[in-house]
Amino acid sequence: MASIRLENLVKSFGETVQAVRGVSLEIADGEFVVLVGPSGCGKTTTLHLIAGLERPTSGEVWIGAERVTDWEPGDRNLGMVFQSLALFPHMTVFDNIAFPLMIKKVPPAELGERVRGVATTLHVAHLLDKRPSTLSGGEAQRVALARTIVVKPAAFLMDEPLSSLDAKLRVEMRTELKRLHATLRATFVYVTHDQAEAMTMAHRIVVMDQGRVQQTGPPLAIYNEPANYFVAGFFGIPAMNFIDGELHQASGGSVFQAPALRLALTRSGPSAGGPATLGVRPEHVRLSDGAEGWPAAVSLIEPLGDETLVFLDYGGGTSLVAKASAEDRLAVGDRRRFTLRTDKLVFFASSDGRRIA
Amino acid sequence: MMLAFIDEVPRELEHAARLMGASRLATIRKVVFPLVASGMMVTLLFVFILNWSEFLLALTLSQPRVLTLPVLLNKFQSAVEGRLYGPQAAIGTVVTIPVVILGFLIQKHLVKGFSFGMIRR
Ligand SMILES: Nc1ncnc2c1ncn2[C@@H]1O[C@H](COP(=O)(O)OP(=O)(O)O)[C@@H](O)[C@H]1O
Ligand SMILES: [Mg+2]
Repeated sequence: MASIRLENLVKSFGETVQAVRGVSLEIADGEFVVLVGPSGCGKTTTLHLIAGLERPTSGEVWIGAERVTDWEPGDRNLGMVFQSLALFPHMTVFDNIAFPLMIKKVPPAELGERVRGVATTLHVAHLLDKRPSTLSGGEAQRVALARTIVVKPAAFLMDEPLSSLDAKLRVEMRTELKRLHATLRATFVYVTHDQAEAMTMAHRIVVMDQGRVQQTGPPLAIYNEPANYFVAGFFGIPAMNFIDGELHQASGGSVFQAPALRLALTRSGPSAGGPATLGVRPEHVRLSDGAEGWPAAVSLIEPLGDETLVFLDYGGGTSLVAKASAEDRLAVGDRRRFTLRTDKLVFFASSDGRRIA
Repeated sequence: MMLAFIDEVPRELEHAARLMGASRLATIRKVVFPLVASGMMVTLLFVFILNWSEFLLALTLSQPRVLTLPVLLNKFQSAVEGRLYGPQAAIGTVVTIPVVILGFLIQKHLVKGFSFGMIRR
């Protein structure tokens, strides 16, 4: 068991590519942390820096009380599951799981016992004589996990391990990984580009973009209180609605003025003025029955079964997506009024995307 | 050509082995080498055929008493007597025998080695 601490990690490849630009992070012992961000944001590189597969250009890596920045990967007592799973194709499942024990010169009797033990836990005991190429996606996944667990590492690093599975299996494996974490109580650092995976699995999410940490926090805090425009747009399906406009100070509060929308903000409105972007999640756009709200035309309907996504043309540049009850009888072309949950609105400065209210 | 086969081994396999504590040498011996073995066999056959049938250099460098088979083959034609088809065909057949035998010996590897992308990603 171990905590992990990253201090101002920087990693450059050559002169031009800066994959990681000053990442500092503390991961507690036993914590399930998910690094999430779009492709190319430096997640894998960060994980490789923790593992020792890459050396940082500057900065430090600590595992527990040890400064491991210059240690060999094999000395760090970490387990890693790779995106491709990296099972050795020329070895049987048994030999794959036994490989790390063999390297550590575990005596054959104990080795066999431990391999069979972990194979039973992960339900792959019947596959021990097979080759990796004959396994299904889910089976290969479990074997890769078994190979990592068998040496009882202090922390687990996982780089998009579920990306090769189909959607249904992926959701199942998510649950299984969470259960595994609860059983092992080891530190998990999990990398994904899938925000839903991050939301469902993490104790704490670390959102990365362009080599920098944008925000860290528990899933719901990230969802409800995004630190900036990027984080707000990255989380949530369908994505948050954004409306560009301008903030003015008026008597009794501030006013947000967009092309087809004027919104008086009485409580806790932003104190600053100037160009701003309003963010509102689809579930906070309400179709109203009465006369209040803004008029709009329904331009598109996407039924999801339990609820329905409604695209509203209200005269602004883009249409507004709302989540409506599946029982609401709607048709394209309907004219409806909508309101916004004012207590749930967020505002970003147009200049740098920083959250201002 | 060997390089292509070694490049074909995914880096993540080497990474995985190193993270499990395998030294660089052990990683090459236990992971990289077994995976490129087929590739090496194909390379062996290629190099063998290339040398076996080499003509130009052999013609220039050899002397009448020590010569390679392809050069010998060429000697059975002259302006005066025309082609001696019999001996030429006979030797031509004999020449191919070692190549065929070698091919059969390493056939198992050839199938794998020639199909690039043999490693599941
Ligand atoms: N070995 C490398 N050499 C050069 N550039 C690299 C290397 N590894 C990664 N990069 C670059 O660094 C950036 C971050 O890559 P990576 O950490 O793999 O992103 P992610 O895993 O978030 O998709 C990318 O722009 C990528 O092209
Ligand atoms: Mg990656």
